[in-house]
Amino acid sequence: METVTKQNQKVNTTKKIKISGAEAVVKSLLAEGADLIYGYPGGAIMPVYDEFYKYQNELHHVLTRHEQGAIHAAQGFARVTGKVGVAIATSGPGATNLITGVADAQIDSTPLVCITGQVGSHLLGSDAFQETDIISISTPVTKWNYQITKASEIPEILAKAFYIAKSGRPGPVLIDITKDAQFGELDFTYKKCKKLEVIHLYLK
Amino acid sequence: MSKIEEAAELINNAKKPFVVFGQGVTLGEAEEEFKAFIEKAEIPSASTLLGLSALPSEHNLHVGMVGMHGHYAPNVLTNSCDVLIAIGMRFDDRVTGNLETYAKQAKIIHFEIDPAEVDKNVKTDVAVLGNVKDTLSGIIPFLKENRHESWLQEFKKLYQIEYKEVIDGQLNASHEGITMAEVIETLNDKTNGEAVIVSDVGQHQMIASRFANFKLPKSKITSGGLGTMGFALPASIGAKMGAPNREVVAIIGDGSMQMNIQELGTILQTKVPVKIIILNNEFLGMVRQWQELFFDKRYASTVMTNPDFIKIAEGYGIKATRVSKRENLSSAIEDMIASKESYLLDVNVEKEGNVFPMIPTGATVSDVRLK
Amino acid sequence: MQKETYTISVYSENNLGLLNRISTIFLKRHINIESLTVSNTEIENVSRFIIVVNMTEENVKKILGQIEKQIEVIKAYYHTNDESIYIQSALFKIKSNLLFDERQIQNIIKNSNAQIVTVSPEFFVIEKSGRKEEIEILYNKLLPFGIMQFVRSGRISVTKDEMKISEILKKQLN
Repeated sequence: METVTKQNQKVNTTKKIKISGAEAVVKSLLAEGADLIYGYPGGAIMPVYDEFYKYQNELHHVLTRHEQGAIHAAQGFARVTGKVGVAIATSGPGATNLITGVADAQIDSTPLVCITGQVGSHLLGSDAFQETDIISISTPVTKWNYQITKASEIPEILAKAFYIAKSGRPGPVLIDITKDAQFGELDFTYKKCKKLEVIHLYLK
Repeated sequence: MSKIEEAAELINNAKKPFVVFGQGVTLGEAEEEFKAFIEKAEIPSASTLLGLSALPSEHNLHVGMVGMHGHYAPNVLTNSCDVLIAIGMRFDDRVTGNLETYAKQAKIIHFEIDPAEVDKNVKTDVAVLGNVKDTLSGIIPFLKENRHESWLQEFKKLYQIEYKEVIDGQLNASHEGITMAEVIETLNDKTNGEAVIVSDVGQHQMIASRFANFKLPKSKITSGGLGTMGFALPASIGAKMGAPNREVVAIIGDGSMQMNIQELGTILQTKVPVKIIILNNEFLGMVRQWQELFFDKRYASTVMTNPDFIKIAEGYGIKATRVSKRENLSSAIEDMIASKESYLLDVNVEKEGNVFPMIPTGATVSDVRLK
Repeated sequence: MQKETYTISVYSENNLGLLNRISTIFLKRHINIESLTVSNTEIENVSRFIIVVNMTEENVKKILGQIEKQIEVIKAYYHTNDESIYIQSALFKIKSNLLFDERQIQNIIKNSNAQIVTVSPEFFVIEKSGRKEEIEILYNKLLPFGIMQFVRSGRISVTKDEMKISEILKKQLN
């Protein structure tokens, strides 16, 4: 049985390194102590899953049989540990299958971070394959949501997501990441969010 | 005077103080502070559905669960208390029933982290904002040590009535059908009240909440506000992985089981040793109960023709047993708990059992029905 | 409780999705938004939503609670008409020949303190700023002559009381 017994690899947060957006997602999750996540792969989230494969000794991903199973499992995990549950799915139907669990977490104040893949940013709004406007769909049932279209946004937005999910009255946060953001490159440093700073929100 | 001091003064002078506590105590990890708070002032305390297990079930100040299918005493005496102290709960409509007749005689104190919840449903007299871990420990020095023996006795008296009218018949059933309550009671015994109970949505959820004995915090996981069927099977997988050293038992109805039944595949692949009890009455139980009480037993689309859950479980590599007779219940649950692997128990329970007490939608909490 | 017209001011960080979130809060409760304006403010990077509704004060307080829960919202306030200084603008596009053929139009424009902003051989445009009622009166006066196009802006307002945004921001940044 695979459970949360693996040690966290120390994430180097002081030195800048050039990595892909997808790898930044994994490193950010590990920096937040989220080493057990539930999900279901698909086209729009494949770059991130490729990184899961490389990091499989540090980050344990549980493949469920439906995205709704993934998000309810993340909820069960969050309820029993008090930590933030993490669920990950692809775009389109993968993302919409999470919505029931997101609504459930919203009304029952369960801390969750949901990551959904999204089509490339140049395709947004074109009815591309497996494209849905998950930000609009999830707005009424999330504490916060955000669509990442540039790799450089990933560490700060994920840090903010975990902080928002856990702080005050807990709740679900959904982060939608376009495929080009996953492929894009950034100089990675990670800083945990200690409180929400109002003005300096999106560092360019 | 600060809000904390204001609240403390109300509590100190109360003759019939009553605490209703919710998930806020668990989310704030304030179980110890909460216990110290109610013990110092000897306040009878009732839990909401999501507040269960924040206080050990057998604590002498724990007077049951409030709400639509909660216990008789806390629902009735909500409309007799003089100070109602709401801690980490949001006055959900299933708890309050008709707001026009909810605790109108009492002063209301609300310990709450979300300012938008204060005065949202119920007008408060004193709102103490913040994480209950801080606010409860903050108020204890201002509380006077107090005794409310005769007030507490009123709860115990009403519990005796509930026991006679409802509970006894469910725990010591003379008819052949196994009751859901018996299953939960036996489970309490075999797990010593230390298991994590993950329940789905419906009659079984209400019975599991009413009868399960919780000794440890974070022991009750269920879909409360949204009431999502299909929640328990995947949630129990996540719960077991999060708490590998605790026994995790999912209590699921036959309807709910089929909503996310594919997650048995996740158990097969991860080998997570989750225990599953299906309380199988071959009905969509809660809807059927409403059809019986309010729609003259017109059972529209609530009859379930179920598959053989044992064969399905075995197909997923999960050990499974069926229990149809009362005399086999105890040993079956014992075997399930003893197993180091995942295990499914399909228990045939009485088909048309009803959950009581009950506050019909929009009724007054103190008019809770015993039958 | 009596319904009254309230102006809700929401101070927020610039954010794409926030307009959607805020309008959903009203939609969920079936509240009609009479007027909605968004603009930047005297503070850099801070926007202000000005929302006019007709509700009871009790419900306004509950709505404000929900609005302030949103992550990018800094603070929300509500004020009655008496507590605000507010105005709206309107533009009327009218056929040019009417200016000469209908003498009354010149008087109407003069008496209503409207301004002519454009004149061309085919049409002229007048602008009127003021209270909603004043714009309505001008509209009704001009309607019999024929209005080619008409548009009215949302309400903009400033409050008589201070809305201590700068202080709140300074506290948060420290």
